[in-house]
Amino acid sequence: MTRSRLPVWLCALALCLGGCGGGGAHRTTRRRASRQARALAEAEAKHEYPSPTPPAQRAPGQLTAVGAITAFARRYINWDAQDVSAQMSDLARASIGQARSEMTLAAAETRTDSTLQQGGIANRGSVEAVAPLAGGSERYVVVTREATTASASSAYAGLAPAWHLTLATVTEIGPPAERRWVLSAWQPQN
Amino acid sequence: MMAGIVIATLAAAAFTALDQATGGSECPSGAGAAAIALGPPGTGQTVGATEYGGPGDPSSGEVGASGVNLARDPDSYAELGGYTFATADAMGGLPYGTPLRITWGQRSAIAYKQDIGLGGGPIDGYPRVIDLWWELAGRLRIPYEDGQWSGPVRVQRTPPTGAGGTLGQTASAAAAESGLPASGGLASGAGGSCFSLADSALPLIPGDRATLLPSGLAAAPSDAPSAVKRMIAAGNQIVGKPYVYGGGHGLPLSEIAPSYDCSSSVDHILYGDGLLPAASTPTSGELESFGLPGPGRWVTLYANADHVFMYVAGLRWDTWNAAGPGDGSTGIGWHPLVRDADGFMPRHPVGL
Repeated sequence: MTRSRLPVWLCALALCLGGCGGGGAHRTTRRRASRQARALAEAEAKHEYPSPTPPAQRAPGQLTAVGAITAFARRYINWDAQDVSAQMSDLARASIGQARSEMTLAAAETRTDSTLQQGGIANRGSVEAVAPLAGGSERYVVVTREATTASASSAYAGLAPAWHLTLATVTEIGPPAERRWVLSAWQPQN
Repeated sequence: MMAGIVIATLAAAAFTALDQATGGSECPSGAGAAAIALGPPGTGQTVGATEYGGPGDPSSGEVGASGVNLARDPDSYAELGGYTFATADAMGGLPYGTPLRITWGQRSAIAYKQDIGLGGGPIDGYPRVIDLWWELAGRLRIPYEDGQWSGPVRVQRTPPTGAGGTLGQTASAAAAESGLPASGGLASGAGGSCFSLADSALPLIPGDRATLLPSGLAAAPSDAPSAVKRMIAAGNQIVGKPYVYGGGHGLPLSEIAPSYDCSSSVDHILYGDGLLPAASTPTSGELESFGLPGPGRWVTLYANADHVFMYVAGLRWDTWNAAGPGDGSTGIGWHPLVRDADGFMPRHPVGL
């Protein structure tokens, strides 16, 4: 029975597709033109051409916001000229949003930064405090104490370890049963 | 007084030509010290420096304007140019804690801004912009001369530190690379900075005559009207500013200018009591018709087409010949001596 009805179904489908094809292409062109016109009008008004929504970013997270920030911060402040690019790439993969963009950019720049390489520059530090900002908008202030050194240059000679402050934003992602916190913005202030 | 407030010599000589567009001041031309703009890290420059503090200079105290105890944090320097944080901007108005690499001879050290001071004229032809805490000077092997040493040193921004700074992800790192002040303030010479009399703590003395303090500031007489005290406070705001012909003109009086000439500095004082609108900077010739004719009880202007000076509670506010004819000084400030007023039109504000 299945065999006898299959050709009919296929014929119906073929007819339908055939019938839709020409007219459908025409409508598609019109829709595309209309979409472009709307986009151009929006660009005229907002000076920004609308782009499609990017796919959702995914990253492994931590069970707590403070845990996510602390883990990120430790890696961000401890590196040397040899591994800084790889570290930043790892941090990009472990974050989303602005933080991912920043770390991706840092990874690309440090990969070819001859000053870092020739100077033998390294950064070491510790995370001293992570505290939520007033307002409860998933924003935190991160206090680190860091020392920057250069094994092949005197540029940093004599500079004492200094306090640094960063604003961090975290976002909870994942299905309800597996919620995790990830860094979504990392903004060093000094 | 804060440790970094040094006694201003109020003398300035020409080392830079500042040709400011002005509203036509009629003051005698002079020369003045100017601030410097620190370049990016790695581009040091030679500047005039002094030292302060130590056993031979007990008046400086041991607490910097930042609140730091300089005896405990001896790697400290003062940025010169004024007696408030806003006006001591000879290096662009660096935030407290800003490290600089300072080099004298073959030795260099990192020091942190913890203080401010007035400064004065150039040193060996270099603008006087920095005062070194005496123990820092000692580390550089600068001879201790009871806080009186002066000479050229080389100053240089340090590179940004920390991961954010090194990777160029902070605003301050970007500013340091560009050579602009990280605080967002205007460097001297680029414009003025806003001021408020509320920022200043006016020293008071008993009686009805103002007194010149060793710092170059004036102490206001406690018996004087509030208007007089406000004018003295306004004068104190700009004591030690370099004299530049045409300086201060073209900027609102509500702002502290990088430099002043005779009329703009008198305008600033009059504005301090609201006797001039902020947008007005009359020249010395125009001040010949200010207020009422004749000397006043508290305030008298002496103006002619070429120059203007004034007395406030007995203390002379002037821009040249500070200690009498021929003393060579050209700065802005209070002066204890009277001067010949022949050829000048005396005027006074109504009620004063």
